[in-house]
Amino acid sequence: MRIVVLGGAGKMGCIAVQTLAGDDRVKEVVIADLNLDQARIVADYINSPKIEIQKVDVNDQKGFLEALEGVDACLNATVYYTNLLVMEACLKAGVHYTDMGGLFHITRKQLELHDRFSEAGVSAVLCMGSAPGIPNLQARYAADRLDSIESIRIFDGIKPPAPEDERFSYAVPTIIDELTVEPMVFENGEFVAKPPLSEFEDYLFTEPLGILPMHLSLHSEVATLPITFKDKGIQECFFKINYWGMAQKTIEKIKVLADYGFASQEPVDVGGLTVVPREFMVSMLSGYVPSVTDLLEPAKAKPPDWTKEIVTEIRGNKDGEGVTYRMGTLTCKGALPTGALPAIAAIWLAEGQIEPGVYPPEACLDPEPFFKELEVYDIITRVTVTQQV
Amino acid sequence: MKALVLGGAGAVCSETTRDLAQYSDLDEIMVAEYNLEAANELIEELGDPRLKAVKFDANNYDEMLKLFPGYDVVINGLPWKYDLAVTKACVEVGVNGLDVSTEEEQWDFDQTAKDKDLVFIPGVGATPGITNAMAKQAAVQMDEIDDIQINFAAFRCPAPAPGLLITFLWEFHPKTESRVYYENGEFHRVGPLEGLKDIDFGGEVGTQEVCYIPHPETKTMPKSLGAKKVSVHGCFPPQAMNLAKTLLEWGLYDEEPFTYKDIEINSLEMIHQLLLRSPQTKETPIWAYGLVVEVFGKKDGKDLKIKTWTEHPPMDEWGGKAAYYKNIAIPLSIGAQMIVRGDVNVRGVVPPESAIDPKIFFNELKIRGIEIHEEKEWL
Repeated sequence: MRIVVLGGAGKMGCIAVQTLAGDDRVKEVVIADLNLDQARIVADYINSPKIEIQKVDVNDQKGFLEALEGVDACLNATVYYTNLLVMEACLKAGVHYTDMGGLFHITRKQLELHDRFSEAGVSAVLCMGSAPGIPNLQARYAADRLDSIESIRIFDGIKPPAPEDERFSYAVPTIIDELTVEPMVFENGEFVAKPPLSEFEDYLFTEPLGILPMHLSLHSEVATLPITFKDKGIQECFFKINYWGMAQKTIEKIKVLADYGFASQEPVDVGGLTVVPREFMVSMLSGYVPSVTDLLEPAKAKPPDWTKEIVTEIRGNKDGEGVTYRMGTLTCKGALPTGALPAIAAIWLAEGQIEPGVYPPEACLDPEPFFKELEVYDIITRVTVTQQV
Repeated sequence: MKALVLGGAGAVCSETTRDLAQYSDLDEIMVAEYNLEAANELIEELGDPRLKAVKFDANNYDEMLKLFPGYDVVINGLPWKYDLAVTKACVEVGVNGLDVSTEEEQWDFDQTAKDKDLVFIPGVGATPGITNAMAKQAAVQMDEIDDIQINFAAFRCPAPAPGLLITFLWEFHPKTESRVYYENGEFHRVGPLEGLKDIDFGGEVGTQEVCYIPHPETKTMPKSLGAKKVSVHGCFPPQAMNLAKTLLEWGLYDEEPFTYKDIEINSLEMIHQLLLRSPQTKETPIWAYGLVVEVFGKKDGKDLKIKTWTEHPPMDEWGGKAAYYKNIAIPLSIGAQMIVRGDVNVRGVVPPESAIDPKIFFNELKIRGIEIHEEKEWL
């Protein structure tokens, strides 16, 4: 089994490479990246004979297609803007595809490729980051046991860093988007846009996480779950998170820069140099992202000293009785599921477990065996069912 | 009597031109502008036959020397980088003048100005400007001056005009050497966002957190008013303060070369250019100017505190942005009229507290809606 990790030298891609290299089912893992120096750092750290490095630019279609030759699955760990471009190439090369999410709007566009993938006999599983991914499977677990669904509420609780730790938790461009683009929620059976960083509520997570302040964020689960479970009558769906796992102070600073125009994608001319303010901000802040070797380090804590819990609360009915499923997936290393989830999805794709077509996770993955696979990495899923006695 | 208004159609100084047209007895008001079209539009709008316009490039010193002679006062409303050149030119050609900020080297022309029997007053805006008159007003009621605490809230966006963005960035630059307070005969250098305290400015501004700001009052008042301690604290709207804080804390003031698109650039310079071009840096919810001056001293052996503060019409009444600009522009106009009328008796390059009679100045401000309130407290 040969799997290509596009952006495999990146902050999340490197963890996917590490997961794949450590899996017996995988024979070869390709770090396909523009940054060869960083790819070597990742390969040296993981130190596996399965790893190969290739310089790949997704914008160079010819070179990219060559890199996809003989590949069983492609895991796209680049920034989500490339999703459609990469999917087109995979379709052409006949290579199965997975990614870490499309921040709602891109995911919607990706799903439109379903018929073409289906006809070509190629499979794609979208939204397999940590979240999205886990909440979709949690929702599916409950949906399989309910006659109808009223609401799906997702709470991504992350142990806050020390206030002075101003590092970004993942891709800077994605965080800037999550902070500045209006979150979509599903309310009374309709999709509605809300202001960024709004509708705060405290939510109680498994100890030692405890109570964390949660706010809305644009996320892909909300793009697919209300559609997938439409027939179950779903009326409400939202995604909330606590400052994307970063210090509140850091988020406030990014917001200030964004409010003063640094999130703008409109190019401006500065003495003959074309500058995109947003690109400049991302470059400026690149020093505030943890290094790949930091991200590849083993978890600093052990269960039950959890550092992250992704909770999905699914309310619905079974045999006429109201039932609430609280699904909680726990980990001691926040970035681990973001790499492990797409890695497992890529393996399942390479094994031919997924029907041809383009699917959100809840439509094509059986949650129980998937959760079992995650247990290997100390990513534990628990369920609590609440109903009247 | 003739006045020459440099940059008289600009963001701030167009309000000076308006004030001169409305309140002055001048025979001629010449608007000297690089943007002649803007000057002509303003003149057409005001419809005052005393107003005229002339094309003027402040980067050309010889042009100043040719243009300035024959005027009774030169009113400098240009960005502060031209202060020194304008002062030099005024002194060279023998014309009175004034501006809204202060460059240390301007004082070097004091003796020549005295010799030529003319006056140039740097810093006749809101602060420096009104604050100097407020401090003077309190100081003349005391025998000894222990401490002058000047506080301002400049409620404007970061980049209403190019020069004002430069001021904003410079005031919080870690390398700005003139961010000092005066105590025990010495100037003490302080860092950006230091000396935080809350001040109630009243009105739409309300209570704000202020910090040390590099301002000329700190430098002039120990000598001119004999104060033992002088400090200037200030702030911009909270969102702008957060911008300064973010730039500082993230090291974005570093002028180390930075690689963007394979080109080495100066990060602060690029930030400056992007802020200048961003529409969001031209907006702020409230336009206003809050000034609070507290003077501590002794009168007849007893400890006395005199607090003065300004009050001006809200932005709804004063036309949005004008609620900020008028606080700088009106004092400049009044100062110029006082020079022309002979209300300023000193000669040389002198600070406002030495040149301007607060009573006349405050009366003129009141006519335009800016009121100065005073509160005395025996300690």
